[in-house]
Amino acid sequence: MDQPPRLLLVDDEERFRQVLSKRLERRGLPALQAPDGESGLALLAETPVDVMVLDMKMPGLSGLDVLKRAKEDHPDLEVILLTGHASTQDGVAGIKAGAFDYLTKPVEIEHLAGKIRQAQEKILREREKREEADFRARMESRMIAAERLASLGTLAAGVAHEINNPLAVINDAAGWLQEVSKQTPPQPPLDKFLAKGLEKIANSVERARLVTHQLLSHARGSAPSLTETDIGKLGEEALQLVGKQARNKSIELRVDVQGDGRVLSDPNQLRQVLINLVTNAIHATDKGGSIAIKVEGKDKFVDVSVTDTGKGIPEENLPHLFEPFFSTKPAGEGTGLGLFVTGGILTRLGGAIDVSSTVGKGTTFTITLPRKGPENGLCAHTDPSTGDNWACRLGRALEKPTQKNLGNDQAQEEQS
Amino acid sequence: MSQAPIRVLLVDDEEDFVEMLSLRLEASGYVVECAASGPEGLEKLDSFGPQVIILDVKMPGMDGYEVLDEVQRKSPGLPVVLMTGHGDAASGEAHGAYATMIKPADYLELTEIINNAASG
Ligand SMILES: Nc1ncnc2c1ncn2[C@@H]1O[C@H](COP(=O)(O)OP(=O)(O)O)[C@@H](O)[C@H]1O
Ligand SMILES: [Mg+2]
Repeated sequence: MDQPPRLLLVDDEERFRQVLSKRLERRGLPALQAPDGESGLALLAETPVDVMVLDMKMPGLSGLDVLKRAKEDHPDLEVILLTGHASTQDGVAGIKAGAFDYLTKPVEIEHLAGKIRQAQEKILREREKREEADFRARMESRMIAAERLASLGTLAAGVAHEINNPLAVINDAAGWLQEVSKQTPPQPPLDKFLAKGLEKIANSVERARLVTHQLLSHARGSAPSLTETDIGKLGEEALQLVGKQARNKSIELRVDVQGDGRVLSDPNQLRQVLINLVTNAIHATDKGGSIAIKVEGKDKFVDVSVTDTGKGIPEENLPHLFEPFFSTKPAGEGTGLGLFVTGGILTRLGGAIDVSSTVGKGTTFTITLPRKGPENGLCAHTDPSTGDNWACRLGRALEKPTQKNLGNDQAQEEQS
Repeated sequence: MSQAPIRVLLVDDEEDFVEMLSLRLEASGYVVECAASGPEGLEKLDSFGPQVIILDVKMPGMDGYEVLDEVQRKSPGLPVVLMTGHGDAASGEAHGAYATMIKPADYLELTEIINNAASG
């Protein structure tokens, strides 16, 4: 410590103050002086001070009051209290109010000088700690930005791929139709060719539309519109919407509600989540299997699980499920956006999603939703207008390849 | 094309794409055989005897680069045109592809490449 601390001595006893400051100065610790609390605080307001040596017993503002006010305005200031003989209570009250330490009058000068130096050391330590924390926070926010850029790159490449493929089909279908219609005389049956080419074109447009619309709903859905939502009812609705697909494979569907299934949430977005999960379950399940939506109302949260008796998910795929365009379905059948969109929605709704799966037996996706809205959710620090912590959580999920939980660890804590 | 038609093998898991491109190429006078996966394409190397292969990069299981390596081992010098929906076009030639094209490919450009590859 090369620099002496900037020192302020506040004591109403003129002679004591003078003597003390002279002795301190001789030890390399020059001090500003103030004869009472008011002027001490005034000095603090205009001059930077590291350590204040403060008399407890003064007319006017008491030492304790000065201490409290000084700490309020200058939280980094360290204060050493001087108490009267046998007034340990004052000292203890001072420590509680944030003093560094207290010394009993009459003051032993070496002791005081030592305390002042300790206080200064503490200030330096705190400053280093703060700088380190600042630095870490800055690095973290930079890393989050980098992760977001990386996932944006992945997203752009995925979009390009998913759009370019249908474009290629449209391109060749149109070119082929031009080719065959140029041939003279036109090869019969031209109308059959036409029907085939036009069907491919329509299918491809539909496929590209699905990609852009899903992405748009992801972008647009950023601001949830909250209302009381009965998840049991939503489950029934979702099952009705996908019922035909399930009936075609004679898959049994059911909804089971335990406890109170009402939450403050966005029903449209939640319905989308359930549809995505049930659609995946239908895809994964063979003829004759079953899919169950289970709603379980707890105190502050509601759990919703979608369980299927399908083929399960291999361990190595688990970390990738929520990435955009991750799909194991044949080209043209899956967009790989369902769970990506689902993850985004749940983050914005303050929820979380977890998956457990056994290959050959089936899969359960479990959603946890806060009963009283995103504010009371698992990621209360999410900016609802931007869905901001999605990227950081996705980043974390990618960092730890075995982590299957896109949600916040708090979920488990709050539940148990 | 006055000589015998050029034989093109199309390897891509995108059913619609394979179907439309093959119809279009056939309408332009090429002889086209299709395969929906890398292994199926490799099988048809011998049975069909293509002069050019058009190969998709992103396929489940064996991807385009793996197929390309295997083609070069089995039929060194056989020209392979890589087709990709991604922008990773630069890496194809480094792997020994004759050319790399991004979907949707310009048809005139594609047929020119096929013709050059088959005559080279
Ligand atoms: N219930 C499930 N059972 C088995 N696999 C699943 C299930 N849900 C999701 N998956 C896997 O996760 C992948 C990503 O799902 P998703 O994001 O909805 O995209 P998509 O359904 O278009 O492929 C699927 O391709 C599939 O491999
Ligand atoms: Mg899906």
